[in-house]
Amino acid sequence: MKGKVSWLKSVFLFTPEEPKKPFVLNDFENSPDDDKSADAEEGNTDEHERYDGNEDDDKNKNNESGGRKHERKIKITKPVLINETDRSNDGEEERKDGEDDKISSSINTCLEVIKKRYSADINGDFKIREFKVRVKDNAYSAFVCFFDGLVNTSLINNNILVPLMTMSVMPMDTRDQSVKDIIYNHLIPQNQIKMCKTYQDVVDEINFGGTGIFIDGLDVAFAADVKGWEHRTVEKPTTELNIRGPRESFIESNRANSALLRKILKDENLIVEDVLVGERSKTPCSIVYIKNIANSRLVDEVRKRLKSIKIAYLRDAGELEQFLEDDTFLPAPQMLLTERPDRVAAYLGEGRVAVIVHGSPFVIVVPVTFFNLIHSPEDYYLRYPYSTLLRIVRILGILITLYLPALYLAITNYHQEMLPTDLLLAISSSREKVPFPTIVSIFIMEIAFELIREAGIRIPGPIGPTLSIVGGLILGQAAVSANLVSPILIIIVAVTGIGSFAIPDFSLGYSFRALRFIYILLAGFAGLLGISLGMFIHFLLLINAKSFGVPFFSPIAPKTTGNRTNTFFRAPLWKEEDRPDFINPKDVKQQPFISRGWVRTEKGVRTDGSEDNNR
Amino acid sequence: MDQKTTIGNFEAACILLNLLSTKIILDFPRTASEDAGSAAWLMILLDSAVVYLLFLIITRLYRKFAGKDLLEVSEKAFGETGRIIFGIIYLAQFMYVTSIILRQFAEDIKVISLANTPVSIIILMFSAGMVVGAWLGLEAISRLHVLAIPIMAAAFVLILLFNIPRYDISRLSPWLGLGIETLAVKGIINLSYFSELAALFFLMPFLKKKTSYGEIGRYGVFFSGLFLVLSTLCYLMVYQYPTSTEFFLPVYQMARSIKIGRFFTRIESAFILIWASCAFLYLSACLYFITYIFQRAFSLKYRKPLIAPFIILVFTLSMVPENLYSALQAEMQIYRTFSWIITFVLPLILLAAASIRVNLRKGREVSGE
Repeated sequence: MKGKVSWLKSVFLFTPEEPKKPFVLNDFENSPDDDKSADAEEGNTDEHERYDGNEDDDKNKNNESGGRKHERKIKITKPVLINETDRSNDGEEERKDGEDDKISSSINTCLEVIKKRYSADINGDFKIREFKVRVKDNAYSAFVCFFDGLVNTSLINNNILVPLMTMSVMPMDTRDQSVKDIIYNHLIPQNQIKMCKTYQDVVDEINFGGTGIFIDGLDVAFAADVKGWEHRTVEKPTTELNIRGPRESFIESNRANSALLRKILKDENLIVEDVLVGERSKTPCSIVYIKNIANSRLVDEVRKRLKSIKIAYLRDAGELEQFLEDDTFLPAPQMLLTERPDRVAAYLGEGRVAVIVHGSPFVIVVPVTFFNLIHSPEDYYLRYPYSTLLRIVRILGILITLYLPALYLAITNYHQEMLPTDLLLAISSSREKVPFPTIVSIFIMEIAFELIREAGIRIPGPIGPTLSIVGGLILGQAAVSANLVSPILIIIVAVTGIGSFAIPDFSLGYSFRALRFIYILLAGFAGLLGISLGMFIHFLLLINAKSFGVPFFSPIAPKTTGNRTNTFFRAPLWKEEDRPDFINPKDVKQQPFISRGWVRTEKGVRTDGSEDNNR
Repeated sequence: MDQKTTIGNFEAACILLNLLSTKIILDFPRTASEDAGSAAWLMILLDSAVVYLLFLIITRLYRKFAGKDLLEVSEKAFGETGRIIFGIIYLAQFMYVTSIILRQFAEDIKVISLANTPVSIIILMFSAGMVVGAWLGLEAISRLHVLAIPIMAAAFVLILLFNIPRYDISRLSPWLGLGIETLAVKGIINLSYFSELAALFFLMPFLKKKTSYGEIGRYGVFFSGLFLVLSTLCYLMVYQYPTSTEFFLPVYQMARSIKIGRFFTRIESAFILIWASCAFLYLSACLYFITYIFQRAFSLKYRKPLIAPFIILVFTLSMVPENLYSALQAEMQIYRTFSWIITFVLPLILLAAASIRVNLRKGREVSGE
C-alpha cells in the first residue's frame, strides 16, 4: 500500500522519490556507536574546515569518513529482523555470557553478573540482601535479590531469610543429601520454588515478582515466587453492567482472572496454558479452554497464532486482539473482549477458547459470530420472553444507530413522497428557517454528539457535570433557537445516540458509530439507492469475514445443520440442548433431550422415552 | 491454507431463485401479458412445467458429469476448441443479460426516485456493488443471498397480500387470452424467462454435495415458477388486459396502490431498498459468472484481475441502448427470443455428445483390453 502511494506521488508530484531508511526496531541500542561515528564524521568535517591547508590529512580523513559513512549506510540500510536486533543488541553481552550464562558456583561472580544485569548501582528499586547460610556446619555466603514493590517482603522474610539463616540448627536427617538438596528440601519453606541453572531463568522470575536466591558453591540458583504487587481487587464490571447475574469482573492479574474462571466452572478439564508474548515484555498470557469440549484444532490455531507474534511489548488484550484477528480492515470486531468471568465461562462451556492477558481486565474469547456480539450475559439470567424482547430492542438500537440519520436524509432529500402529508408539512415547517442543507445539519449535530461523548470519557470527574450542561445546551434548545438545525433533527440525533448505547459490545458499537457517517454520505449522494449500496457492501464484508475460521454470520449464513435458536432470538434454556455446531466442539450435546427431570413430558416425549399422545 | 470455495444446497438454490425471479420487479408481468393477454399466468405456468420437465432430462444426462461445469462437459464433448467456443457463447449470454438488466435497473431507479441523476452515475453505483461482490467471490455472494432472499420474498408476498382488496378474478377472462396458438408459440419463446437457469451449470463445481444439483435446480425452478405465476396472476387480477400492458414497472405499480389507513399511503418507496438489494445481488452474481466463465474457458489461473476489464465492458454495453425503451427492446426482441436455445438446447446437445463420446471411449478401452 505504501509502495503504491509513493509510486502515485512520484507520478503525480513529479518529484524523484527518496529511498526511505528502513525502520530498525531497537536501533537506539546501537545508537551510541552510530553517535560516535556521527560525532567522528562531524569532527572530521570540523577538522577539515579548521586545517584547510593540510590536504593529505584531509584526504585521508575524508576517505576514512567516506568509508565510515559507507559502512554506516550499509549498517542502516540493511533491514534487521526483530530477533536479529535482539541478538545484536543485548548481543555482545549475551554472547560473552553465552557459554557462561550457566550459574557460576562462585557467589562473587553471581553477584557481579546480577548487579551488572540489573544495573544495581542505579536501579533504586532493585534490592540485594547478602547473608550467610549454615549447612552441615559450614557457612556459605548467599544473597537474595528482588524488586521492591513487586514482591511480598514478609514472605521473603518469613519463608526465605528466616529459615535459611536460622533453621539449619534444627535437627534433621541430612546425611546422604547434598547442600543443594538440603536447602531445597529443608531450608526454604516456600510453596513455589524453581531451581534455575541459568541466569536468564532467574532474571525472568525476578522480573515477574520473584526473588532469586544465590548460594556460594552451588551451580544453581533458586527462584521463589513471592509476588506481592499492588493491584485492584475484584470489583463490579464497568462496561458490561447488568441487573441480574454475578457482579464480578476481571482484574489486571493473570492468575486472579484464571482463578475467577475456575471458581465458576469447577472443572478439572479446564486447562490454563501459559504462553509468553512480547520479546521484551514477556507478558504472560493464558490460553483457557475445556479439554474435552473445545476443538483441538481451534486450540492449536490459537496457540499457533499466539506463539507466532513477534512484538517488543504487549500491554493489553486490545493490542493482542489486533495481532490475532483474521482481517484487520473489517469494520467489525472478530473476537469478543469481555470483563465478565461468567460470560467467558459460558463461552468456554460452549467449546470456545479464551485468552487472558496479564495486565488487562479484558479477556479475549474466540471464535465469535456477529450474534454473540449482540448478546448480553443477562440474556441467560432473565426468562426467555424478556430476553427475546431485549434482543429485539437491541437489534432495533443497532438499526437506528446505523440507518436512522441516513434514512432521514434520504427521505427528506430524495423520497419526500414516502412521508404522509402531515408529517411532511411538519418537517418542512421545522426546516423553514434553517439555512444549511440537511446533510450539513446532520453532520454538525452528529459531530457535536461524538465530541460530547468523547469528551465525556476524557473529562476529569469533578468537572463532568459541566459537560452535560454544555452538551445539553449545544444539542438542545440553543441549536434550534439559533436556527442551525431543525427540532426534528435533534430528535433524530438523540435517538441515534441512545440507540448506539444499546449495543452491548463496545467495539461493535464503535464500528457502527463510524459507519453511520458513511451511510449518511451515501444517502446524501443517492438517497435510498446509496443506502442500499452501503448495506450491500457492508453485509458482504461481514458475511465474508471469519473469526478463527468460523464464518461471522454462522449459523444463518452459511446455514449450519445444528440448532439455530440462539441467534436473533432466544429459546427457553431447556431447549438449548446442543452447543453451537459451527465451532465443532468435541461434545455437541450440552444437556439431555429432557433436561428437566421433574416434568412428565417435554417436546412431546415422556420422561421414560415413550411418545406423549396427549398433545 | 488453500481453501476451496464450496456452497451449500440452500445457498445455491437462493442464488438460482434470485437469478430467475428478479425479472418480476422489472418488467416481467407486463411483457408476459403483452405476449399472452389475460392468459399470461397460464402461459408462465405451462412454461414452468415444461422447464421443470426439461430440467429433469438435463439432470438425467448430467448424472455422469456431476461436479463438472458445462465448460468441462463441452471439453469432453468437443475438446479444448469446444470449451472455448461454448465458453464464449455463455459469456456472451451473461454479458448481454447483465448489461441490459443493469441498464433497466438504473433507468427504473431513475424514474422512481432519482429523476435528476444521470443514468451513468446510477449505473456506476450498481457497478461498484457488482465489483465488490465479484471480488469477494461466490461464497460471500451466496451467503448474502441466504440472508436477503427470505426478506425479499416476504416483501414480495406482502405486496401481493396488501393488494387483496383490489383483486377481481373476472379480470382474468378471457381465460385463454390471445388464443391457444399464441399461447403455444409465445410459450415456447418465453421459456427464455428461465434462461438464468444456465447459472446452475456453472455452480456445479462449488456444490458441497456434488450430486444434489438436481434437487437445487428443481427447487429453484419450482419456487421461481411459483413467484412468476403468482406475480402475473395477481397483476392481471388488479389490472385487466390491455391496461396491464401500460405500466412499465408492474410490481411497483401494485406497491403504489397499497393504502393502509391514512398514515401509510405511499410505502412503495420503502421497496426501493428491497429492489436495489435485489439488483445488487443479481448483478454481482452475474459479474461473478462472467469472470468465472472467462477464466474457465481460457484456463486462466486467476479470476480477480478479470473483474476490472469486464465491469468496464458491462458498463459500456449497458450505456449502448439510447433509452429505457431500447434496452427493453434489446431484451425482448433479442435476448428473450433466443436465450432459451442457449440455456436448454445447447446443454442437451453438449451432454448428449459428451455422454456418447465418453461411452465410445469406454467401449474402445474395453475392446482394447
